[in-house]
Amino acid sequence: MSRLTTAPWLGALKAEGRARFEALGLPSTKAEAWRYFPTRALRGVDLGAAGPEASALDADHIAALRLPGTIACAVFVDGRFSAERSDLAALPAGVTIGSLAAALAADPERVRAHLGAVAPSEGAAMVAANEAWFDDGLWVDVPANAAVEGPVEVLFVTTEAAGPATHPRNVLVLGRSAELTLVFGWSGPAGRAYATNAVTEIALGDNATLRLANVEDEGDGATHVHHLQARQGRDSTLKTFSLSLGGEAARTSVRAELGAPGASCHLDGLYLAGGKQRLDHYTEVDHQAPHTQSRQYYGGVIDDRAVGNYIGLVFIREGASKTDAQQLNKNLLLAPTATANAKPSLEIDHDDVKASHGTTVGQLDEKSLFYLLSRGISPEDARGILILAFAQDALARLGEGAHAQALVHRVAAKLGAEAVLEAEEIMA
Amino acid sequence: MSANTELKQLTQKRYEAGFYTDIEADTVPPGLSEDVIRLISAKKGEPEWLLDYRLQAYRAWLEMTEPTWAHVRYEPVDYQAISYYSAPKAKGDGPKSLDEVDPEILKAYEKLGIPIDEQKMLAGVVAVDAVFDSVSVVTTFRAKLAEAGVIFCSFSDAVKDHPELVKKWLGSVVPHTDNFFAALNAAVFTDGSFVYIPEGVRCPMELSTYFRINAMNTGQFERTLIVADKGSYVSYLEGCTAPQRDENQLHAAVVELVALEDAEIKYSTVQNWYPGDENGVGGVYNFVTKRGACRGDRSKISWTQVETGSAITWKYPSCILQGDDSVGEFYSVALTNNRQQADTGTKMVHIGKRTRSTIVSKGISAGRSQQTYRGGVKILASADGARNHTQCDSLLLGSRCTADTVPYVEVKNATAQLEHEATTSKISDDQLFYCLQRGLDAEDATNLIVNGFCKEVFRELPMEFAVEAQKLLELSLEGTVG
Repeated sequence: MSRLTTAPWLGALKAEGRARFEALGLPSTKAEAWRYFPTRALRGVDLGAAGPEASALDADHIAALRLPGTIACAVFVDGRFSAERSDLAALPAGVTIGSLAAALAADPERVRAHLGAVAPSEGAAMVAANEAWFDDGLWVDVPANAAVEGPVEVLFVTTEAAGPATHPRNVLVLGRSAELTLVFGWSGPAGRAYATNAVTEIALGDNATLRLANVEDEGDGATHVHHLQARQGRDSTLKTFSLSLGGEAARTSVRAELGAPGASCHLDGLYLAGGKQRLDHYTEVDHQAPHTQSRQYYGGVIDDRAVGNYIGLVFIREGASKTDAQQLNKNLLLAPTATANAKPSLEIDHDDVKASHGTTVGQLDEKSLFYLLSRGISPEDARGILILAFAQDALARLGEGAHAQALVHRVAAKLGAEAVLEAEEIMA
Repeated sequence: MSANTELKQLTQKRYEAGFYTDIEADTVPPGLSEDVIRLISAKKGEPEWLLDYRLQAYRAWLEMTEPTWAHVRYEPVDYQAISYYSAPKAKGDGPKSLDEVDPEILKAYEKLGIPIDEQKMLAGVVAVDAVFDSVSVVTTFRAKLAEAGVIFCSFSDAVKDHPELVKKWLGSVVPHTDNFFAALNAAVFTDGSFVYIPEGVRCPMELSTYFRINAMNTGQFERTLIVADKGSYVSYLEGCTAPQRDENQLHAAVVELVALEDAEIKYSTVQNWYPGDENGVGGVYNFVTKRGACRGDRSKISWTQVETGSAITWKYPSCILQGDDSVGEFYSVALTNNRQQADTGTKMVHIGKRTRSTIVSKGISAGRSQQTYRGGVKILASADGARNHTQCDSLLLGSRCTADTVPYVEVKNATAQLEHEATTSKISDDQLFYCLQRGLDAEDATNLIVNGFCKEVFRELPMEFAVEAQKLLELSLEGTVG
């Protein structure tokens, strides 16, 4: 049973989500957006099964996950907000970061204006499933002109006790000229099949700025599906960075609606796929207004029998003059059995625009490798230097700060290039 | 004069090949059934195996549904309202020489500027197979080509004279189950060209087929099969036009190319089917399956296309790179104007080792047209050291047209190197301003810039074609400057 308030409008919204999901069924690879991401693992899973009433988690567990340099931390365990594990004391007055369920109880009308409005579930099966079965998630409300100094971390932890699927629903509302940096961290137990189906709705007021680093590092048996959708006001800026590390199959999709003049978005990402992982990124940028700008850079390092996918769509609507859109996807294949799929598409209905896209797939450059070897560097380190350099092209877009540095180290560790990174840092 | 008026004039150039030739024709009543297919087959005096092939394709077609994934919108085609066979009435057994061809037909080709009178041509430049509605009316230079061992004839003649070759290669690249339109074509194809270049022969002249739809309410379903045996070379040109009519006409062709070891096929198309008027009334539905297979090592297939016609285009000339070190190329200029819709591109499938492919696609949309580049590059696990470079650029002329780019890249081999780049923009004001201040008018300036934009592709065309393509582009662009 859901622990949410039983407001009739919410009941109706959830019923609609359920009906839509039942009508649509799980996405199939016949749908273009899901072409490279089979949802086989979710077949037969009771997505609506209730989670545990309370989940046990060591205090050390959260401490070990926290990134340095973050000023506050909200913790969600098995999809529900955990006030006792969170640390939100440092937030400025007037800024709310916490539980969506609590906000629905305290001020339902405030939430209602945004919930399900930014990311409607029509035609989107997984969003509909989330709508049907979410019972908590992150609620962020930053009033006009408020700026939160320093990044706020949000940890979504799945425990051994979790049900087959959790559906966090996050709603982020930034008022006019508000500013916020968030770091999402997704994690879960190893050696266990579970599913996370998250939806994040973002409403950016005029001139607001949101930076969001989304770090997906789920357990090796996880199926992770996360859809982020933003509606942007005039001159607002959205910067997302999707770092995909874990999970058996993980998909992060971002849709940015540039609905007012001057809005801009940077959608960046890096995926490191190894073993039999399948890491999928899907983006949609919808230029609806003149003078809007978008930039995308997704890098993929794919090893073993893994599959890395990028599907990007840029729409430029009639009348969106002086739009400037760029889209770039680069892939590095490290093993003969690795697969990269890319589909960067443009749909342009207006002439006074600039749009470009590109994609590359390749391997380590033999000449560069040879050069490094000739300078006396060991083959492992030489490979490490080149792979890390490739990853750093993307990581440079993470921004400044100790949390970004820590993420770079986490990437280097996964690539087996930590020693190289440390040497680089000493040199610098 | 404002640049706007110039643009308008430039895009509203009329269609020069829109005339109709009044000749007596032998047309099968509209409708499609096994009986119609048997009738077509009987009219053409085909062997049993070919009829079986047709019927097999027809039965497969009945099970299929029309594809809807392309970015084109059109009124559904009523396949029972089309006549599947129309031939200029033959005198007796069909023309034995040019003198016996209906002078009206000759006049039509003359009007189109297609040289089918051997005497009047520059000695031995191009051999032409002229296909009028459902049948090939004349093939020039057959004797001269035969000296070199080259077989160049209509498909019907090939079935009669070289059944073993046709039987061996027909459907080997595009099977009859490939897609909806290919299945339809396999069931009802009426004529087309057949080319066989024997081992080690470099075809002494360029081969060309000129397709013309003339009759009303007919579809054209031709089939082209080109086989280049080991170490041979051929350059083949294809052109097409249709009269100006308010009804839509269906053109569903299949082209199959086979290149064996060290062979090279260069296939160039200037497609100028009637595009409909400025309100989108009439025009040809061009639903074509073109595919080449580089079967042998070091073979090469190169597609060059200039697409200016058709109301709807659905066309993806592709290469299957099976042989090691084989090469596939695709050079395309597609121009859409008024209400034209084109969904076109290519597919390169890398199977052999060190296979290479190049894609250069230039799309120009004007008026209220819609254009989509749809391309696929697939590198299979076996294709060690495969290489692809794709460049696709779109130029938008006018604020009501659309240009979409949908590339698919699928790489399953780590030693592959692949790049894809694409840009979309309008003609830059700076470039236009520079030309204007040098004394060019807006129309010439636009033509100059557009031609520059397409140069990479035009360079790949045989010379006569390059000139024609450039003229055609200017024609189709008339009235777009603004």
